[in-house]
Amino acid sequence: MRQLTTTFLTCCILILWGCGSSSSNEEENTLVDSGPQTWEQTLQQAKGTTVQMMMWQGDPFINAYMEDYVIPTVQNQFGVSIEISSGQGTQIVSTLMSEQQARVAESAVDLVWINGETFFQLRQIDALYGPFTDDLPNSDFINWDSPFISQDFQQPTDGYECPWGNVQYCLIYNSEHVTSPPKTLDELEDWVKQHPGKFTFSSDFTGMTLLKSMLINMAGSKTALDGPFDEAKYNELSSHLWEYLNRIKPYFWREGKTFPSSVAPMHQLFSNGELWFTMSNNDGEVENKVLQGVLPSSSRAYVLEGGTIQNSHYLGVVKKAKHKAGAQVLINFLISPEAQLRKADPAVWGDGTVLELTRLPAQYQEEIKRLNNREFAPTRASIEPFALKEPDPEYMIRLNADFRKYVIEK
Amino acid sequence: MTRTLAKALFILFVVIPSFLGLSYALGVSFGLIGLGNGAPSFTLSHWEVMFSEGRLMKSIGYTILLAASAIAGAALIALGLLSPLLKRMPGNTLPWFYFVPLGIPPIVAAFFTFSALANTGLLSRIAVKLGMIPDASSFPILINDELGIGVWLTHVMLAFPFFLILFLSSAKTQEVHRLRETASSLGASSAYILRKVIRPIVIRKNAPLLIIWFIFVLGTYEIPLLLGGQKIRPVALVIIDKMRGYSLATIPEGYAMSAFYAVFIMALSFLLVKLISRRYDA
Repeated sequence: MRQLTTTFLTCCILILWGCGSSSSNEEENTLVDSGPQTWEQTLQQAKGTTVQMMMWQGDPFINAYMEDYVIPTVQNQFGVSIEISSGQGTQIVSTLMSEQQARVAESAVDLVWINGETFFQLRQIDALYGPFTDDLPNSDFINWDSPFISQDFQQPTDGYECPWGNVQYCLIYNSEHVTSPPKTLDELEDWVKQHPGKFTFSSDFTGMTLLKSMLINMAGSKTALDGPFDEAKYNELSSHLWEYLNRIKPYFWREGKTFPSSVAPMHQLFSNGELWFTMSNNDGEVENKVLQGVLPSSSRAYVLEGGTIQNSHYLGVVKKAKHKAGAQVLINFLISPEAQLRKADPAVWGDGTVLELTRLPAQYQEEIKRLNNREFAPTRASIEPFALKEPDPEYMIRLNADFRKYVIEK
Repeated sequence: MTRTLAKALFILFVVIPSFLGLSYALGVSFGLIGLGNGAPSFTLSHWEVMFSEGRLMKSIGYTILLAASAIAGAALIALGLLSPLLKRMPGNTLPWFYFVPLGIPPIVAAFFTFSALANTGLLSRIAVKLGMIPDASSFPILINDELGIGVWLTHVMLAFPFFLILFLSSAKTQEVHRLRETASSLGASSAYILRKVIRPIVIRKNAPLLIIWFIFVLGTYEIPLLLGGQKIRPVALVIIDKMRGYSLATIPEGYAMSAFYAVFIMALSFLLVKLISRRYDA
């Protein structure tokens, strides 16, 4: 016992000593951050490097886009290799946070696929390199005037992340069973009560995006949640939201006693006919999911009349990245008209472009317009008037915690 | 010499890493190790939040109940199968198919259970085809349910073949089949033999391994992640929620929970081992 106590105390001392403050490595990093001055120099510096990219790898279409198209093209055109590792959201934050605590001079990760609260958290711990987006030649094509692109969860991106894709939340219904989908919260309440067990939402990010949309719908104004987190406003609106959800919860799938943990099982329940509604953060996802055979061809996507959240997802360079030049070359390629066009194709990924059509060469404008002819989802132009901005990240944090407290555990 | 080396290796590869992890968790939970750029300073706030929420205690109670009932269920099934197996093949080993569940990773087993027991799963469809239920939605809710029936069944499925092998092996070494034959020739019923002859020998002999499996189930993650309900969840899921949630502020609470749970499990294991040793000695 005495030996164990001694070992434990030694470990405590070791940990505290290991995590104590030191400045030697911080000095090294300021040198690493002094990046190249011109794009030509960046290209030269990037050549022969291997960029470590951390991204969500949960979709076979996205994985195939990266593996079969991006990796070989970037290797051939720029001599930059890419190695992808799996990770998203808090996994990225945890990884970079651990590196900061260990005071590593160079991160194991160069490039991360992020948005919203992850960007907010990474900025909080100062883990992102930047500003860098102005250095990318292809950033000239980006529609920086759009608040859905230049702001990420109400935070100016300030050049610390580069938009990669833009999507809008949508509900997906089975047109075989649902002829006239509910478009307002009142209609949704009526529909759910008339069709018990056929509606639910996931308790993950996608479900929380629906709750954010509902919160803004309840506020009655598209801009109601603009600006920093407002405690009083949140308390008032969220109390209405919990009241609304608890009122219709008994008519949800499984009487609202449980919620699917993510959209993947929801899609499965939808395909099996157990649910008549599923959902997606990407308005174009229904197209590729039908092509994959995951969703039935009777699936149709739509948005609420009061609007749904539209947001962008971004690419960030890690502050202590070993290959910042390679990461920037890769990002520049990913926002090129060629790569964005390919990504927008539902047969490839079906992700909305962040480029401003009028700034693109004519051939790309035509191609992207052609891709907008969707079969199962509404066109981008038709749903954009119903787009709602992401509110401050604190709304998401609070909704997530309170949804568990006031709805799931009630 | 060999004993000293083994002890040194155990300390180096087991004790030190575990204690380092625990020390780190305690350091973060007490604010002594700062996350991000905040300056470290001692605080009890994360522990206060953890206890005031009450979620952890409910979760620990649920996890222990789940693990204990799964172990009990698996042990009962294994015991039930042991007697007829000893009768039929006292000297032989188990048929190969008993070993199959041992090769299935927990996440795959969870998917099997999901495919079989979901409302639109295999059993439900068969029941509809046979006219036993009018439609798939009438099938009893066994997945993502509040009681964790699907989680329990999966753990039982994974554990009972292992227990059966253990029990069979100890029954053979203790020559239980001879004792069974003797008891039977003296007129004891099968149930009596199981209760009074087989169970005391095999359960006592394998108690430490049953406890190890119990501790293993206490850390269950993948199975309840896929098959569990949302109202009350095993501790591992609650901790991961805190550590990987949308807010950095809940990470130290997650570390407080993990440190508390680690110490709690160590104490529980220690007590259980002591209890069993005492029963052995008695």
